[in-house]
Amino acid sequence: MSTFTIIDPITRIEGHMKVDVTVDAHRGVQQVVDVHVAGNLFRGFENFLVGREPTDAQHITQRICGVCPIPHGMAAVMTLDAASKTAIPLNGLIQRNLVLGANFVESHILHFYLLSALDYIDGPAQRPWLSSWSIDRRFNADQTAGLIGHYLKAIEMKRKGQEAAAVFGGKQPHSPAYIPGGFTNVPTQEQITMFAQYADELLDFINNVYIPDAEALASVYEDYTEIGGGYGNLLSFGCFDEDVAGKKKLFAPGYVLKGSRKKSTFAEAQITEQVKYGWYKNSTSKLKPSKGKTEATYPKDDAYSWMKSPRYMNAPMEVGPLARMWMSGDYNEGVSVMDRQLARAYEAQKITEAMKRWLAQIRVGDPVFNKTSIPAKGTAFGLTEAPRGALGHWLKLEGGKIAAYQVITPTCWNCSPRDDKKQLGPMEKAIMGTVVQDPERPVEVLRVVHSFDPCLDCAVHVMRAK
Amino acid sequence: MNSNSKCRVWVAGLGNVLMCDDGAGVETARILAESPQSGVVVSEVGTAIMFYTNLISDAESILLIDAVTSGKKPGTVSLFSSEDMDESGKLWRSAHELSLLDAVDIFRHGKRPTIKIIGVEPERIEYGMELSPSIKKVIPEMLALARKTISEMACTNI
Repeated sequence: MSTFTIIDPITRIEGHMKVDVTVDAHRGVQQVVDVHVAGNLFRGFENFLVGREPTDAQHITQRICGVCPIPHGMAAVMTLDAASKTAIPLNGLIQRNLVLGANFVESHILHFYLLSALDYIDGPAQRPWLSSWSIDRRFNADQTAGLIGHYLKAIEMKRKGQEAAAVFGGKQPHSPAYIPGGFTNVPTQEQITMFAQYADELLDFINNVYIPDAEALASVYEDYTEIGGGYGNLLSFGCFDEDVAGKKKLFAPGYVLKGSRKKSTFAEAQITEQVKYGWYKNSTSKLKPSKGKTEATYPKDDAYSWMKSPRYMNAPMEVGPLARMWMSGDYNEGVSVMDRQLARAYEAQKITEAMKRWLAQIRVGDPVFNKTSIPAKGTAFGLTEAPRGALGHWLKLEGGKIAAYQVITPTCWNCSPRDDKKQLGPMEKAIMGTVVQDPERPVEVLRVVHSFDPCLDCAVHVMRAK
Repeated sequence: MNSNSKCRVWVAGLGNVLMCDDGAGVETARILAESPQSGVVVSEVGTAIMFYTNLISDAESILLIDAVTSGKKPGTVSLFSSEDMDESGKLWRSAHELSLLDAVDIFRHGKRPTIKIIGVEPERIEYGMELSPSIKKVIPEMLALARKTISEMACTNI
């Protein structure tokens, strides 16, 4: 008999995301035979940007998400750079990179120790670590104690990463420093020195604690290099410009299908969003984001998610650190739960090393922005990356105001529902077929879900009184 | 983040300003921040809780201002302590949906400082940047209660 289990891996109260799995015996093995990943949030933010000043976009979109305000700020100003055809001076580019880079690094550390570790070890016996599914624990007591000790250190490192970002970004989060044409802060030697100290401390932790822990996890749970793979379709928009011409990036854009080692050239024109299984009007399906519409319809036959299904050349694509590291040629061991964990850890190292190089490129006294003139009419987009994957903003201007705005977040790619051709979303595909020991507590599925670092904490925050 | 992390009282305005009345706490914090006070740090946190780990770790006492649903009439302003908050039935598995109280527990290893919460019962939680009239009307009441609570929390001067 099959068991239907609803996993609410992300939330306790609001229900921003849920994963429904059906577990049944298939060829004598108990496994996931059906899966639906649903986002429970309407994409309503885009609609109320309409009619506003274009420069409002970077302030408003930073508020979409409590986890990723910096990447949204980056994508919004890149969109306006493109609209005004403004080149960014090197000091502006580097500072944008440093603030975003620090955000990636602290986000990755947080992901490993706070979001993922509980799937493998029991947390400290204190609030709020009240209860977790204590099954398939393979680390011995000493190793577990070690990981918990590192978790406490990771909290400190998370803080250092934030302090580093604030050196140049000023206020954190919701930094006002990202502006079209560059960055507001004029860097000083003191700031460079201060940031360098943070970068050294972070690199020390990454090299001596985070990477060894990630490698230990991948070794103790080696079977998870064969679990949670999915399509093997990987996509990166690329990020961290390293020259003013925008040609050289720390992470190059590109895509691969079916785990190919050879990447192909990325073209923005190949992105569409499909809505057959989302609560959006079917007439708005298969639109390019530059012409995208967000028109809800509820209820709707077949629909089960408030997310749309972004597709690249009609293919579902996984985005995130593994995709970035694959395109940059730094990691292509495979696509699985542990490959995602390892690529994320190695990426933290690569970015921190790059931040140290970028610091040396800052020329104190050189300009930090170029004046922009945003046209009254036109279209533009800004493509970058957030810690959890590719992020794009698309803008249409009319009469000097925002006429349309579309945002495709990394989690939209990874957690998308089935598309018009009924192809599963990337996370759905990765979960399908996962062998489950206990259908009431499918920890194996949670490990797959969390390896993507899904982010759906994007809206309401209401406390409830007793 | 750029504020002095050693403080007696940390005042955190919580909620999403893009979701109508959910932004009431942030709006109140913005107005409070216009009158700086020694030993008191006011932050408009919004939903970006994990960006305030230094204040979460170090503040001697914490005042949260937020929309709180407790079934009262919209616009009702109440003062709660952290023990009044409903944390029942929670199975903590991901920091993606972390509440500020969870964050305090994580970063202070389960030892909570004094935490007070000023809550206003929301009328509308939906996409939009405007507070409802019933909420706008009680912002002065929230400010007065916040100032009174802050002075009680910071009874000793630095």
